[in-house]
Amino acid sequence: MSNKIHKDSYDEARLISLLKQGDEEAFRILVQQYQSRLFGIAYGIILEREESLDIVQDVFLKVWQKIHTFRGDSSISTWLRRITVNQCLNWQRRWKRRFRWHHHPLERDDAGDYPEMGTDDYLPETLYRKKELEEIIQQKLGELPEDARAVFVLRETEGLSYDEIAKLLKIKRGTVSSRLFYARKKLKELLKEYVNEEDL
Amino acid sequence: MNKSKCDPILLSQFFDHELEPEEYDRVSEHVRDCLSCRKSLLDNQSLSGFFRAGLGKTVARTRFDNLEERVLSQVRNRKPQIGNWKFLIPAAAMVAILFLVFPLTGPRVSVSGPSAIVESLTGDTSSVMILETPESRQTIIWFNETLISEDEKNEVQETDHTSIIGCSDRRAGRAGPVRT
Ligand SMILES: [Zn+2]
Repeated sequence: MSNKIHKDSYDEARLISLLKQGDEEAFRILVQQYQSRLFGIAYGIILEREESLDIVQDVFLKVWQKIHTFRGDSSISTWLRRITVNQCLNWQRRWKRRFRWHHHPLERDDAGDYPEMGTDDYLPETLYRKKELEEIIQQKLGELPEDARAVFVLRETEGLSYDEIAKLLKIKRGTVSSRLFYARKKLKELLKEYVNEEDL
Repeated sequence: MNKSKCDPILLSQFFDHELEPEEYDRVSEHVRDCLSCRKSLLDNQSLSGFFRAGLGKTVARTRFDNLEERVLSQVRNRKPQIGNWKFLIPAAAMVAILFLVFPLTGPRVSVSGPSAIVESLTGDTSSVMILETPESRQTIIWFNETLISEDEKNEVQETDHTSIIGCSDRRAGRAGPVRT
């Protein structure tokens, strides 16, 4: 039986087994398989392309070094995602602590202070506006606190359930719900302001 | 949630399909009659669509440039680890204690030449800071920072440790504290 693994015949158990044996070809396949996905998570949280690439590289380095500790209780994608999120959050904490650099978080609203839903304008649907909004959303994401951003990104990029996000970030399910609500509310407010300014 | 009262949090959970069936039906019924909630759901949907599309384009524009090869060469170039940090840190502490004790009892360190030369540092992130006093008396502090995985199982919970591996003050001829 060949010890080689091919992309076409991708089999997670076999891939992990080969990775544990230090098989570089298996590692290449793993990287190619997951690099975009992990970059998407990292970029959503960090919002810096080069830093996100560094984080993804660190994640794969960690995976190569720690693969022997992977017992298969969860899928490899869950494991990779967890390492990526931890790396992102550690990265942010480290830089904040060292250089006191941080974004300017918006003040949180009181729990009962909800915006009047549905009274704001519809987000524009034209292609031109669409492209603009895609870019502006990424900018505005940076104005969210990192905890709310992480929840939003995990929900949107990975489609994780509240329970999955809660487990991953070690927070309560209710906290996931409120952070997600807060993130959307703030983004809508920030975009509404932008849209009004541009459209008038 | 009834016809007269909108509940944005519940609506958000409804949008995410995170409600129990009964509650889902109740909100669904409310949404049917509530323009404001329908509008909010549409906005959520647009937000999600714009975000995903934008991120998708960013990912597509990103060149990974043989990321796997870079990682592999990093692995090959990396010196084999001497031991676990759990052992290295107490060892570093011991070295510091020796520095602390001997200069106090022995002769003072001469300032005519370097007492030690740091040639290289290993670790994920390293930085060296050298402070020099006007009298050419140097204090060398070097940091070695690494992420330590506490969990040996599948869950990798990284904690951030900054270790002052060594800190020597040649003027006083003693070593500074070692902490983790
Ligand atoms: Zn309503």
